[in-house]
Amino acid sequence: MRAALLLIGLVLAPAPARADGLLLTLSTPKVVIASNFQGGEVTLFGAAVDASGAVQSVEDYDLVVTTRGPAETLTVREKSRSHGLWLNRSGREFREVPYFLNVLSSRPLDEITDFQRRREGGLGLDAVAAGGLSNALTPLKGDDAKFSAALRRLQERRLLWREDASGVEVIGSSLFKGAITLPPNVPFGDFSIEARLMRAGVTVATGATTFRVAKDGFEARVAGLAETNRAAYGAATVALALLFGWLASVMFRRD
Amino acid sequence: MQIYLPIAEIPVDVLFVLGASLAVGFISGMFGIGGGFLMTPILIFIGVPTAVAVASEAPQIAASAFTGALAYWRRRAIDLKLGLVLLAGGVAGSGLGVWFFNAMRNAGQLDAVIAVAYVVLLGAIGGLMLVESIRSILRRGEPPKPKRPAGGRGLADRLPLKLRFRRSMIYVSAIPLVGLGAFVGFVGAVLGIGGGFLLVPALVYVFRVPTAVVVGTSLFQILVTMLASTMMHAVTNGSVDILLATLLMIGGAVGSQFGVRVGQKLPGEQLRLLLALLLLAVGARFLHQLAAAPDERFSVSITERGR
Repeated sequence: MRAALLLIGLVLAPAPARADGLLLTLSTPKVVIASNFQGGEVTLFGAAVDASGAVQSVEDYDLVVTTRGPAETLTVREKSRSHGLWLNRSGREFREVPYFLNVLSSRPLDEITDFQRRREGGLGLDAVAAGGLSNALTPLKGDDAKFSAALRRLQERRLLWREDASGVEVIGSSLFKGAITLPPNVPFGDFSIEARLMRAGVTVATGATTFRVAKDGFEARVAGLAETNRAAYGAATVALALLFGWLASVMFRRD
Repeated sequence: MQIYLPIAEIPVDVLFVLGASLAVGFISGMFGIGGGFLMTPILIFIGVPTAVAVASEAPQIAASAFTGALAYWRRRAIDLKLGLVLLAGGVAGSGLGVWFFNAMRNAGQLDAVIAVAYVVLLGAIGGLMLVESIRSILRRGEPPKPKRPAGGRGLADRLPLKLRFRRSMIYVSAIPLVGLGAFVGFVGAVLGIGGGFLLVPALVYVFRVPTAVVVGTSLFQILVTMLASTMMHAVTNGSVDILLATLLMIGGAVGSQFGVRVGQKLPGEQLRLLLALLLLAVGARFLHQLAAAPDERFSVSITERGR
């Protein structure tokens, strides 16, 4: 009887407003790499909204913001000793993994959700690394785990991968922001940002946006020419070498 | 002052690159070598991808070889015919070298191949020069013995296709010369070096070309091989960084002028002793890299670039 009453009470109670969408905006849609580029930062601002578009509190939720750079096939190789020399002997290929990866969250990821969901959603550096190696949603075994850990470690050392469990900052109760740091060696291309609003380990809303990292006019033209008009670019370099050699010979002529 | 390199895709310190190329230019002017075997490892060390370092060093070597070759041309100290025969092999060799370079890079063995090649080549040439220069320093004052073996006819003398090189005053088969050119071109393309330190001793000691024409002829051969190598790296890989190459050319050209002046003041055998020690030191550094346990056993590289 009491259970039935409780059930009726639950059904009749006014549904609490629920966040089921994310609004996102970026400090800049495009980062330009000019000749003096030494790294940069893109800031994401966001808010959770309900079905009617009203802003909702995010205080009871977890937030995970994943930024992915251009996908590449990466090879991780391990050196081992053979005949007294240290040579690359074994390796693993990681398919379609982002060369740049930044994961910001409001709490440590393993507190937000379980292993299985992290692997499914590609949440966190380890999940992405493991996902590049296999689609099996089980822990990696033996050597696979070793190479996956090496990929994460090396990419983190080069500042290309980053995981920050306090990277998402809640402003007031309904706005949040996260700063995505771009290192000097950031790859260029299209970057996608995926924000997840999670509760009890389950994603309740997602939002996505993109930005672009592009070379500045001069750098872009040089790189474009080197790629598309290879013979002309090579010939220009050859001409430049001859010009320099000749200039040096004229300027420093001693005989 | 940082500058972003468009092909290497990393920012580098302009003053560091200029300073290093100035120093390498000084050494190259002093010893009459290209200096690629010093500059390429420095570039790799500061984070320039190996492919870009090797490809961007080629135009710099070409520029400094051109400066030198012009000076020797004015003094009529280039054997063009000999240079062209060496080139016939050199261009084929560097084409093969670029192919080998790409194959080894795809196999993940490029860095090891480069290190082994440096150890073997620098060790062998440096060792030979060390022995030779110490001997001549000890023997100083005694009259030099005639070097040409009387009537000695080695295998090279019995090969067909004999050609007469008037300026070099030699009469030899074209086959070993083309082979030498091909070997130097191959090694140069793989290692990003001019190969002067291989070519000059080979021409002097094996083919008995007079020292007066050997350097100019070697510079001529290096010039054309490196220009061809620049073209091939640009066309097959798109890996020549013109900005980096320009920095290297500026530093190299200025540095070598000062080096030449110092080099002319030092006696030849002391100069060769110093060069031998330098070659051995660089070789030892690569040996250490191969033999010592690395701090980090793992490495990451991009397999397919989705450009």
